Amino acid sequence: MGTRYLIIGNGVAGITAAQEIRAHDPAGQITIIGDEGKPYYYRASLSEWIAEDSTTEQTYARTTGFYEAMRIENVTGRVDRIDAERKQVSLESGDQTPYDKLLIATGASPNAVPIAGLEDPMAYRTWDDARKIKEHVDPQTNVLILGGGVLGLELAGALVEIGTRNIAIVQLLDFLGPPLLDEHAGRWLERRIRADGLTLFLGDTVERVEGQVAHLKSGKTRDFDLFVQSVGVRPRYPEVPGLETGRAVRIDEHGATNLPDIYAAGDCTETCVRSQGRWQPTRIWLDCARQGRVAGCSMAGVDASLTEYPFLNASILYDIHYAYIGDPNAEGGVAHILENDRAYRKVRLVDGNLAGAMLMGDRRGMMPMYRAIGLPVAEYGDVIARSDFPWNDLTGKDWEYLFF
Amino acid sequence: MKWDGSEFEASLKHIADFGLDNCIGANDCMRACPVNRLNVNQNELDSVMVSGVWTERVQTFVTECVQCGDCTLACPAGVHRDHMMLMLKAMLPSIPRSWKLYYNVKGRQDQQLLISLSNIVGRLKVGPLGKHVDKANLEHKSLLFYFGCYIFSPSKAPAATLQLADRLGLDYEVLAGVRSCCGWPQYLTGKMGYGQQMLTHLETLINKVAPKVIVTGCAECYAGLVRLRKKTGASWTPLTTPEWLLQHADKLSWRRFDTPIAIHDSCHITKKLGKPDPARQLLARIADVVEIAESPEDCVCCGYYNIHANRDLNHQLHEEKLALVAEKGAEGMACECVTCWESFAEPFKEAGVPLWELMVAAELATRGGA
Ligand SMILES: Cc1cc2nc3c(=O)[nH]c(=O)nc-3n(C[C@H](O)[C@H](O)[C@H](O)COP(=O)(O)OP(=O)(O)OC[C@H]3O[C@@H](n4cnc5c(N)ncnc54)[C@H](O)[C@@H]3O)c2cc1C
Ligand code: SF4
Ligand code: SF4
Repeated sequence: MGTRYLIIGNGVAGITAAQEIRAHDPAGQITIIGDEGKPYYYRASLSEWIAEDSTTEQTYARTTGFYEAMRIENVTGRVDRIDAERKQVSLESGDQTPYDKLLIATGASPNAVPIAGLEDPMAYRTWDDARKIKEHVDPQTNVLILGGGVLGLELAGALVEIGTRNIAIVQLLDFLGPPLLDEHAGRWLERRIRADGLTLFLGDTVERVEGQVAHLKSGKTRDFDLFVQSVGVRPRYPEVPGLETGRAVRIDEHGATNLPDIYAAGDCTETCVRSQGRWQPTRIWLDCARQGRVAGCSMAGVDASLTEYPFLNASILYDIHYAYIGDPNAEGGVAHILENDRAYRKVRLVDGNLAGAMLMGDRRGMMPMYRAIGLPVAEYGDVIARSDFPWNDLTGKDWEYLFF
Repeated sequence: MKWDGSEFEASLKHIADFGLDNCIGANDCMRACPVNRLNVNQNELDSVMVSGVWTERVQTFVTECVQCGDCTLACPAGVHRDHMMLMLKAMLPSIPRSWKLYYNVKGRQDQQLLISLSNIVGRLKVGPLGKHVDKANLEHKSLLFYFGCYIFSPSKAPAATLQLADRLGLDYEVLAGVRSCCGWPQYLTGKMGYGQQMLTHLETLINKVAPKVIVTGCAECYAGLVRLRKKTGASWTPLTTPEWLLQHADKLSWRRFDTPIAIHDSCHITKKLGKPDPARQLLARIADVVEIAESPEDCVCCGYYNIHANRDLNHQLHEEKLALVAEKGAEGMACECVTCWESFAEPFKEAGVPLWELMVAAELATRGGA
């Protein structure tokens, strides 16, 4: 009988680990337990689904036959407890499942701000959430989104696409899009969103709700039919006696926790940034997948470790393509900024080396720029913020950089 | 899946893994694809890539992918979906017979006899240019024209390019023939190891000439040169034919055509290497330039490689292109890349719409002399 691998969480971290385990251990038994009752899906495409750009099938990250082809057993259920000594997990249903190697890939849950008078607050994280939101909206719906971060804006963008314009966003800070955007970029986006007719309450919050009316801290009021909270997430993981945690499950560079044969990956973890001596939570898809890969290798006995890659997050903000590369908001150094109606591009140099970039609207050069982090670029001056700067010429001679 | 173990394949795998990890499922890539007639979803591709279990749909689509790069331009997450398609080509369980012919007669080190035989036929076809085919005694020259395998094309661009160089009184060497192929046809058919072999061989041939500048009229050859120079750190500069001619344009006297001409962008040059301007600037010397797409990056691919996979699909792209040219009021279309020209030549001829190769048009427009 092969090694029994048990994975809790049917998301990107869990599945990527399972794929890696299968690649290295053809005989292993792989079981994934998830509590959503859905196959592995892309959270980002929930917005495409709400906007009616993607079908339900298209939000699934793998085809129907995938689990079978990979010989992965997919169980629906919720894990309540992990018994690290007896090496087994208990499900809510009362079932017990033993394991040889365990991966905790349980993701995160949306935060909920307690607001007087607001019953049953809605969030935006899962397929179920998306379905509920979709059921409640039509072009006439009054939508109130609490939180003007990336996720709240993404939802607003999707709703605008299906014709809903009565949207208000209430944001505690006085600009949109943090922590990805700085104030300047936030203002750029704000102009764009206001032009679409959305209402923004910046530097404000909802204090209480009476019926279908939200009372803001500023004294203003706003009617709503649908109230969605999008105020960040917190890591989610089952109780495990003796498991080392901070704000999340702590993992080392091999994806291992402090307990034997228990690994973790994805939004439920934090990793140590050695150079800065601090623990950093995992928050984005790419990092979840990379951790899943490393954990999967380690579980299958293959040597692998997390490399400290420069940060990369590229996606859609409201309705605009953006890329956040490295550390565009690093302390010190110089920032070269290019701004017009179509694009906002900020490139930061620290000690003459490329430290990071924030690109919105026009992202040309983003991938070669990602590979150029750390290279000396001071000699080029402010032309490096332009979209036609030949970043591709600066980077790497490895073959992997040579396909265009 | 059978890997040939080349560095190219290893690097493709690296890029593909990054794509698998970074893809957030927007499916914009597949919506942007000009040849996705089966409406294949991205999740089908990734499922095949990970599991190695093929479906007929995916196999057909991967075969028909023309490597235009539209998918990559559309992706919000920065995934190189085109390279992931290239990796799937390398993984294909079986490939069309025409592909086998295609990669066997290119400059493979293990097919020397076949190449020598096809060269005999090829030389007869190309007349005076034949003397440049697989030349044994390449000389040291600072200017090198690199025609590679497209010397055998029915294209008139190689001859026109040399006429222009002669008119300018330039001294040059010519590298041509399938033995100096850039390897792109090989990657396209999933033969990464052969492709790498050929690019490496190309390097030794270039070193015999030790040029300062290498000029080519094929977008794929140009990309091959850029790749090679990055890898080797060589000191020569690769130029497209329009880039080169623009450097000398003021030494020639130009006659203008009296009809407006549409410009077709080559995928490799405009979308992948970001150089839409030289071809436009050159055409502007000859005629009024008509844009047929919203932006150069939106120009639809010529679909060349479906000559070898799916002719119907190829024709569909051509019909669309012809319709655009007519709609925008252009009386003809110009392209800088010989591959695009080859793909369009027949349908444009049938439709009676002039199709210009930029070098041929420039040669005609400068007959007034230097
Ligand atoms: C709408 C939306 C859009 C996003 N867009 C982007 C984007 O564009 N780019 C980007 O980088 N990131 C994006 N993100 C963030 C990204 O999706 C997450 O970082 C990522 O999904 C986390 O993956 P994970 O595998 O760690 O966790 P999850 O995807 O949360 O998966 C964990 C799974 O485990 C299940 N689970 C939890 N506890 C238990 C238990 N006890 N028993 C059984 N099952 C359990 C959960 O229900 C869940 O299904 C987006 C997020 C959302 C919500
Ligand atoms: S567009 Fe990009 S993120 Fe979206 S499915 Fe295609 S590769 Fe994935
Ligand atoms: S490279 Fe072009 S043809 Fe191939 S999948 Fe991408 S868009 Fe389609």
